[in-house]
Amino acid sequence: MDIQANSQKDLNLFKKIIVKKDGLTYEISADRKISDLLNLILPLNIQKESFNENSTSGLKSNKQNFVFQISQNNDIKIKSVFKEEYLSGKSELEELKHPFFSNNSNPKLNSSAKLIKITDEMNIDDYFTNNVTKACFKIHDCGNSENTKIDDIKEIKKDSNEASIKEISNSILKTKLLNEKNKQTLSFENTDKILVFSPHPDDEILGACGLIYKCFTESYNIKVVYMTSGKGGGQAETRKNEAIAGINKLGGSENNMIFTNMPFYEKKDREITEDDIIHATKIIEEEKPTSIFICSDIFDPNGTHR
Amino acid sequence: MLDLYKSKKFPDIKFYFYYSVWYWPKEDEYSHILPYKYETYKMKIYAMLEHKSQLANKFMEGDPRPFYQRATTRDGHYGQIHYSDFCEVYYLINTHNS
Repeated sequence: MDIQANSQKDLNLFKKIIVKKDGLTYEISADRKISDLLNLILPLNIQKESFNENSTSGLKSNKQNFVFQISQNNDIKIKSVFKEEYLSGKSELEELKHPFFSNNSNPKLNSSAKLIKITDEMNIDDYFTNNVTKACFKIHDCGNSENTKIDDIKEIKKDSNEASIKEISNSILKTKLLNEKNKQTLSFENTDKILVFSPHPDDEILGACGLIYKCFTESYNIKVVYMTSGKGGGQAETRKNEAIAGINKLGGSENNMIFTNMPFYEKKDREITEDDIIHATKIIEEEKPTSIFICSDIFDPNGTHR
Repeated sequence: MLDLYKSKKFPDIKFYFYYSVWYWPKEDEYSHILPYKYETYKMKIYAMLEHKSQLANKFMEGDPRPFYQRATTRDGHYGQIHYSDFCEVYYLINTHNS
């Protein structure tokens, strides 16, 4: 089986991947959504190790390249490397830490899939209209059913907003029902006041945008507290303006935003002390929230999120 | 913030976790869900794209995706689990960790 990946140099994006196997040609086109691309590749019943030096692409801005290798037992290894690093042989491929890759029960499409084609070129509007990310998820869903054909996926893609998957295995259904029993849907009262503490400008959008948008559209009282200026990742003023623009986009205003700088952020060692607790306490006492949302991730390589 | 919660200065306030894009919480690491539809997904993308200075940043872990894709991919994953287009997950600390 041959795998070719063509990058379009002008855009420095993956443009097309062609997989030839058993006399059939699988054509996969994608934009920079490498994860989507890999989600599409993974389900194919790949049997032969194949590594093509051409299967590298990257973002022009940082000369980052993506290298992937498909082994005999279908494991996919990928690493983003700098070109010089890769060419010098200093870089070893690593397994991508991604639930789709690490979960053994991850369904795989059977080999009856004949053609997967998204679009040749996509821009941000296509991201919505073609709904590629979603289509990829549907492929994984469908893949657990031996009877699923690629035509099902095409149909979902055409009507991606409303379509349901034709065939989902009982095991997936059971898992979903089990999970649903243990979870509550987030809801509020009109009297509630919500504070979302965001370590940097953007974390509130990445992790809690649905919550913020819900509060704006349903007129719940919500404010986002930006705990730092985010100057470690860009100009403070720029990031503040971006945060305002983001909240404006969701229907909020600066009245819904509190920009503050926790004392620890101004220290070299970023050590959290009693001063930080006093600082946050003062905000809470002034705002009198009923619910507080804090960003937490003990595995986060960015220490400010912890 | 967690220290503040643990101090019990505000016993009547519900404290929730939400997760940074780095982490995909396991089933027992979230108690609440916020399923959302495609319209909200679009708004989330649009809001993310306002953070222009962050668009080219690559992940520290070597994940090749732009940061905003990682967030929406995660929401799609939880949406799949909870019968929705997309889904954010939260953890009510008071109930589970007091």
